[in-house]
Amino acid sequence: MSRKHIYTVFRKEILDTVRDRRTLFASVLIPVMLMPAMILGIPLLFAGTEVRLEEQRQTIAIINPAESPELFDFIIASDSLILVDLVGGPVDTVRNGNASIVLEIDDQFGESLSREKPGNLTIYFDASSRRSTTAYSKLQVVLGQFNRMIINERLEVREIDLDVLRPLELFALNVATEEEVSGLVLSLILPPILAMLVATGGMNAAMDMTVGEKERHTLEALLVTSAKRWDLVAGKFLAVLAVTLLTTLVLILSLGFWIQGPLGAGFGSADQSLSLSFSFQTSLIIFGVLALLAIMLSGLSMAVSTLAKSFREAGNYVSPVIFLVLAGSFAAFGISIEDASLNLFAIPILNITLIIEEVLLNTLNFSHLGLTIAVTALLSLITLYFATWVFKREGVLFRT
Amino acid sequence: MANKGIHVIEAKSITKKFKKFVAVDSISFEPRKGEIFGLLGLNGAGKTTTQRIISTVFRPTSGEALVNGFSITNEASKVRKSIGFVPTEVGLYDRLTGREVVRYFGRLNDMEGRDLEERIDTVIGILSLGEYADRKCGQLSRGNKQKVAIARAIVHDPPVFLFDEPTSGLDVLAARGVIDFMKKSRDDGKTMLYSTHVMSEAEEVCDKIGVIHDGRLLYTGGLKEFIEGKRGLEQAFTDALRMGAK
Repeated sequence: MSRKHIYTVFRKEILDTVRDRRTLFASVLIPVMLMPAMILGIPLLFAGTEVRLEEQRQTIAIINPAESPELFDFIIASDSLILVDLVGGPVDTVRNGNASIVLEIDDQFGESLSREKPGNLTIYFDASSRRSTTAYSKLQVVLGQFNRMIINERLEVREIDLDVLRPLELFALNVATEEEVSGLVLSLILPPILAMLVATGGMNAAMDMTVGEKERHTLEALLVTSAKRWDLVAGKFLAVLAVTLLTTLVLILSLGFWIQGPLGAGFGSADQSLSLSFSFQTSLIIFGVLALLAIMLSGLSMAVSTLAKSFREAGNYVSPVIFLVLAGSFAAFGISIEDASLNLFAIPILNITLIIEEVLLNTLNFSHLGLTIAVTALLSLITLYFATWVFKREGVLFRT
Repeated sequence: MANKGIHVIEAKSITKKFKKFVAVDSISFEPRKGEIFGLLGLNGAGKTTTQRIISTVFRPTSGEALVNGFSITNEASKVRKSIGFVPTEVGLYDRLTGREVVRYFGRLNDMEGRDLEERIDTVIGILSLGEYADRKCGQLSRGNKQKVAIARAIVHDPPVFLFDEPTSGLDVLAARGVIDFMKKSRDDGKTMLYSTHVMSEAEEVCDKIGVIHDGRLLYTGGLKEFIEGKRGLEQAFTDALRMGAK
């Protein structure tokens, strides 16, 4: 092994990559900078839509209002729904969008209520319409209030204490800090995205430095220099790793920017706003964990790219690698991090995803981290040896 | 042990098989120091495979060759230090300048510092690359790219040049430049294994030739002997192929 040769190859590959600015920006840096914004932005978009629907007043048509003027007035007074006229039958009225919802008061409703029997109400709504389902929820709240009002009146007539029907009084206190809740939200969203972007970040460089040598017909001249195959592979590997780490760094910085800045505030549901946070310490640990993943994937993408005879073919070969990363990171969705056994941290990719979750939830377990590092380091060595082996195979290097 | 014999390349019964296909079938040849040995053959005759074996890119299935006294099978790294290989395809790094490409290969051949920079200037001068050396390879003409490929191959001043169809795809002037360079290198004592199917060029520069067809050597020896009584190398070559085919 010659450190001088390794450094020479590394320096050349970095120079070559840096000069390929268009590819570097278009396929690596821009997606890495914008992807977190897009991913974090989608829940915000949903939350925004939900807030708008909550704030708007949906329309309601009421059939047979004369049967219970009291209920009719109660609904109108609630101010959350606007009364409109029925157009045709109740089903058509809802389906055609003439009203978000239709409430049909039964002919015997008033009499049933006066005899203290259940009064029948029928609600027509469209489960496929966000507006209609929101109106349905609002009407349920109003009817619930009306229900309690009737009960209270009946109990008062009988001089019964209202607390008789309220044996439990619940007080729920959330002991989690806002950072911890933020960590939970981020732990659900971030690990697969981070793993994916790290996986794709160095792939272009890996392909360019391996199968690219074949396509440019530079490989043969390179193989007859004094540098050993291992030196060539090691230099290229370090260059791919450097590009992947740069991608990872930009990704972390980008996440920090979007979370601490434009997208962090007002995250969460309409009634439970949450400010996301991403501390420097968390960023640092996640960068370290992702660096492990980068090491492993750099070797793997180099090895599989070398097997190909063209860029196009290399694209086909690296697709399963991306699929593996996706499968590994999404598998973490089915695992509760509190119950994750040590064995799970022996599974590549999944272990990285789980470690990121632990970091975000501030529950990092050092035996988990140790096993993850050991497994990833071992796999990285295997992929590097595989890449070197591939680089020595005449049949692979000179496929036509 | 370098340069111990007169024969700078000694190929002894080299055979290369790719599964059942025999690309090179027990060929032997021995160019001496300061000779240009032409490996003449049609496309697919086995010239490139032979060059790749001698340059240690391929391992022979059987047989052996010594280059500058070093075994291609057991002392591959010493062989690589002794050769400057110009493959058929001129592959360069488009985003690097010619000088950077030559420097890269110089470093990979264990040169560095002032020695390397001086040698780069010398090689650039020899190949008349001066004004193009600092342009990116992607912007160079085919002829200048070939010059960079040659500069890259000889930057470490090896005693043996392996040139695989070095004038392929070049215009007349560029090809003339390469041929003149080969002649000058011979005068400087370099030994060359030169593959081509351009008979006029071979006739001009070769001292010895090997006619290869379907992986077998039909003739090995002096050029003059080969063309004696013929109208030239092209006729002698064609006749040899006809005889070989019979």
